[in-house]
Amino acid sequence: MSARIFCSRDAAAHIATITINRPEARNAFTLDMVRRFCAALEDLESDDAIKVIVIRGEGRDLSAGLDVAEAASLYARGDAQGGKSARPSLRARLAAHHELWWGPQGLYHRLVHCRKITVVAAKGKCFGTGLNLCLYSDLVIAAEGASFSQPRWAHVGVDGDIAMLVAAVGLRRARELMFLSATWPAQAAWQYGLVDGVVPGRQLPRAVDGLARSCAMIMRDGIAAEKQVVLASLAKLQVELGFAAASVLGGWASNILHRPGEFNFLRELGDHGPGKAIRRSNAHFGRS
Amino acid sequence: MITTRTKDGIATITLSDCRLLTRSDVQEGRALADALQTAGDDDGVRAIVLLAQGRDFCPPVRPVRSQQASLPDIQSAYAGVTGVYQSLAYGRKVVVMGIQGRCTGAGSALALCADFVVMGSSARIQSPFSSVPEASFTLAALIMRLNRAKGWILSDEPMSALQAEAAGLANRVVPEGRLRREALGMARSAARMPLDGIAISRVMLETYLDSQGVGKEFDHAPFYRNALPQAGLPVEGRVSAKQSQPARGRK
Repeated sequence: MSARIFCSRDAAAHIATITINRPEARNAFTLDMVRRFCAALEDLESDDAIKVIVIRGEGRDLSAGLDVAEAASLYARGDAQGGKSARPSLRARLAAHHELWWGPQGLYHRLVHCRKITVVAAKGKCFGTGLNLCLYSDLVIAAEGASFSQPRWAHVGVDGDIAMLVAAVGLRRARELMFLSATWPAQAAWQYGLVDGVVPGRQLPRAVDGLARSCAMIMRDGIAAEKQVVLASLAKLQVELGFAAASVLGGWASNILHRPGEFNFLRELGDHGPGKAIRRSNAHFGRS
Repeated sequence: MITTRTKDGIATITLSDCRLLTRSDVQEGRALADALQTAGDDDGVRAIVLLAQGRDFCPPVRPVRSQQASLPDIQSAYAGVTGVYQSLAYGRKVVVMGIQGRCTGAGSALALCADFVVMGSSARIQSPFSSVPEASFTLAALIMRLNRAKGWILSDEPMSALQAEAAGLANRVVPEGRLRREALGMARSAARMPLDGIAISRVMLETYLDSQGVGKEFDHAPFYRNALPQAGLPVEGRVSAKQSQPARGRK
């Protein structure tokens, strides 16, 4: 099996590329892939030859999000019973959200604090983790057919940071993802400020490469200084507080009570399997 | 007068005369705040639609100072934690507002606090900052971005529905005849979420708004009120009979 996350470097161009390589599953992240992505970021951070990191997906999509088949095992590691309990403890839930996503070792925290310039090639489905990769990177070029959504929020509520989302697209647009289960096509994402440009799909690799090479012309110290300025601005926007709130509320959101008649995705997953559960979710929430 | 009708988990709150809110009528303010809180506390309600009767959501009105209402009463009814604007901005349920015709004063201040805004295609929305001390500039900047919000506050020119949509102030623009249906459709969409999920999302939103200073800005409203032109206006009853006439439907 080829690596699900692989990293290539062009030292002469000062550009590295992290590729999400699970096209048969629309590049849905497994927990192992999240950890390997974090490891790749950490490795590249220490490589002084690299100025720019390009993030791309193999196949049609950037990423359809976290693999729903792994949702049940998401909290297993933090439980004393090793995840054998029917209901994971709250501490396990809180630990998982902190360690995987929002805490200092988590994917999104690492991405926001990355000292290199990060450029995302967004295409196909950019859902959940895919959307967050766009949000927490520096620059995003989207293919015309790309779409952006947070489907999990319709199931359990907002279990992630919204400070960066509001800063990018404005409060009213952010609420469309939070409460209306909206899916934004690339053009809307560009109008709202989530992506920096939209190009025809075939031109995406060249457009991203051109942007990465342009960024790589900046002096290393200049990049470091600019990224520090960005981080200082994000601190004023209370992004750290947003990440802390995401760790806590993410844990709570995974354990909500479903009333009769409410759509329970995890139950659907258990009863019907991933494919049918997703189709039923799309039908319930009016997603195409 | 404020009326509330609940059907299929959606509470529709209708204002008969939004100008009373622009004039900081205490009774009207309390009635709207009560309606919002009652719907927010009701587990049978999953989303709220806020509408106004008539051709205009909130037409312009000459501001007057109320003869009887004390500043603490006005503060309690409008800017306080249980007042109109915080009940809307920090409410427990998703609120979709449908705007037709002219929207000024309190109507525009409400639009800043609602979760979603649908505008009729010929609707126009004017900055509320010269007439409503509780209007939140922080919310305007978070919704529209800083420069657009500054442009809006400094200009008396109403924004067209399409301009409002481009600025991020309106989520959707539809023909006037479809306004109510569209607002209800958005509310139904929000109502498909689990109630606990809505609650989690509202807590996340409240945390975020507080981190940005929205709550503090409501606390400052009494100071803004003293700085507004109304402070120097004649009290109600000393203006012409037409200007001070209570609007129709007033309790």
